Amino acid sequence: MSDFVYPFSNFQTLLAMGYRNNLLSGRRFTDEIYSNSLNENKKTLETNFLKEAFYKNMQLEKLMSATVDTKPTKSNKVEDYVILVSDGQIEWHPNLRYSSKRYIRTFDYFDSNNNFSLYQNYCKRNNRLGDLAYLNCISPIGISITGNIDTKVTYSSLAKDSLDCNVMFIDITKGKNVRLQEDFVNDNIMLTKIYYIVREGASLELIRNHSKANYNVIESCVIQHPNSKFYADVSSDLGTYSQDIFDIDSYKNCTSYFYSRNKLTDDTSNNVSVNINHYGKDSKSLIDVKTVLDGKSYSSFRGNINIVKKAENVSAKMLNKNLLLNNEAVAVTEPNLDINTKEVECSHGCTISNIDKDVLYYLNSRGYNNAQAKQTIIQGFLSK
Amino acid sequence: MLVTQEFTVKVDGNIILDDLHLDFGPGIHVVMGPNGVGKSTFAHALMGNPKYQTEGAVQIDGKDLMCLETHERAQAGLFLSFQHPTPIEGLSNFQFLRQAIKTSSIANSLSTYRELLSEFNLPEGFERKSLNVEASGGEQKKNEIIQMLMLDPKVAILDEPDSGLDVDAINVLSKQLTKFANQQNKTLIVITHYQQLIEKLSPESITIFKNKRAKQFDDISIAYEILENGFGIDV
Repeated sequence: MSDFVYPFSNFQTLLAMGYRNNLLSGRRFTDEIYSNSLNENKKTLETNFLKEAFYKNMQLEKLMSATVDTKPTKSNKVEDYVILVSDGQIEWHPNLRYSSKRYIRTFDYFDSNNNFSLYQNYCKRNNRLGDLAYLNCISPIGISITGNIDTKVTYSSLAKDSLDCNVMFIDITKGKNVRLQEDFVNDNIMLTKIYYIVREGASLELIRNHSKANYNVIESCVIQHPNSKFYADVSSDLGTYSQDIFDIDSYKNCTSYFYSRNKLTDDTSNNVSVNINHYGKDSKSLIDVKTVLDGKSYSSFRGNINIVKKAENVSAKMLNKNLLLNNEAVAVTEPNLDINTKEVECSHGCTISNIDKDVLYYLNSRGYNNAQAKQTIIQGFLSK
Repeated sequence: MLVTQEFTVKVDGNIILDDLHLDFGPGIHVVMGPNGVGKSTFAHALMGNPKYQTEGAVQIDGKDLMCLETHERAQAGLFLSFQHPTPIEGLSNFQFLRQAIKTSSIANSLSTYRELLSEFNLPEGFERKSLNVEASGGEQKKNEIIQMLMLDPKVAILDEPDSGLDVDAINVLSKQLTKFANQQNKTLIVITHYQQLIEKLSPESITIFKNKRAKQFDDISIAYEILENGFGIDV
């Protein structure tokens, strides 16, 4: 492949032309779930994402006009990692003497026991940018966790490619308690699709920071088996553009907490979408997204709570609060509730506000100067 | 001590308080007046609330306040206890106070703070609660007084500190206020209509606000006369 530069908006056309002949598009893999023959993905390749209602508030034109430079550039050196995920490869840190190796199995396409077929049912196309990750990554990868573990997973580009794609499976064994710290590091564009399977009675705590990635699209599917717990704590403050999309499927007696705290400056664009589907009884969920916007930054939030008819006795709450520090900053919020049963407790509250002058004055009256007062207000606003 | 001269307060160009000449020396002073006459406006205008335009002179121990911003007035030793304290979500009572103490350069410890919480009968863990968010009216008022005691200002103005307080709390309040005012060079200006509190505080003067003006009386019997007969007196 010769080196060339193109806008991200041409990516689909290039893929349709067979730009990347990855391991998934080969004939011998067509019986696999990831078989990505161009015909099968025709719909995705022909979709005009800019016109998709799902993306209407996400400033997609900013991502689409970003430049992809295929010339070899300096790779993103990541020294401080435990597990590194990079375009179809997954590896442990070479100097690692870490007990968690006993409880975490990493697998990729070249692993003969990769068991990818087990995840077939979870991989439904939803006509979003994440679908393109299947077509451009070398192969899916995954980790299977069989112990109570607290570890770090870093997503970065090692292949000196300016468009890095990953499809990742994270499978938590029944009854295990896992804490994952996820970092995303990329100077260019990164598309990531992650499936988290939280099996019966297990718990997953996810601490995610995508501040070190420039253009970053992350689509996360969380499948919570009965009696499981999921807790996400997502933060963003730097980076040019980010999309953090969560689809959470919650079955019987599950608990799901989604917190996102973002502090945006300059012309950063941060877009959060959380879709929680309550399929089982007695489950509980909280979506709590707060963003502070300065400069010409932009934030969009879209929250959906869907409760099916048989999911009785569900408690679901959605909050989105935005604090504007500058007149040029823009926040858009869109809460949606789709409740199909009466036996539920469901609420939402979405606000966009400036710094309250009365609060500022109260702090001033206690000796805080304006800068200290604003800092204190922001700190309080972002607290959980 | 706090002195005002030709002190005039306006809101959107309309005069609310006109040409006030008041002198609050060391000790306790009570401020009274009919509803809506501008007592709270007076307190907030002294504190430098940007809602109000002010003219004239205000001094604390000879230092001019008029050219100072609100936070600088606080740092110069002025404190105002709000009638309706502002809630701030996510900022704990102690965090708030710790920063305020730092900005005022006055050292006071967590143990002193806890002693005060206990004296005012505030629940355990109150220091970790968000400022004025889930507190009752009475708890908010107690909290304002605790802030004053911790910050140890030269001049404190308390805007109806008794409203919402039960009998026991009034006793603690008057005891603490008297203790504060008995220190050297401390001035306490209390806006109140509560006879029991006035009796307990034995103020140095009574200031009556009426018709945009204010008049100071050294004879505190005027307070009892008003409480009995209303504000029909001339100011």
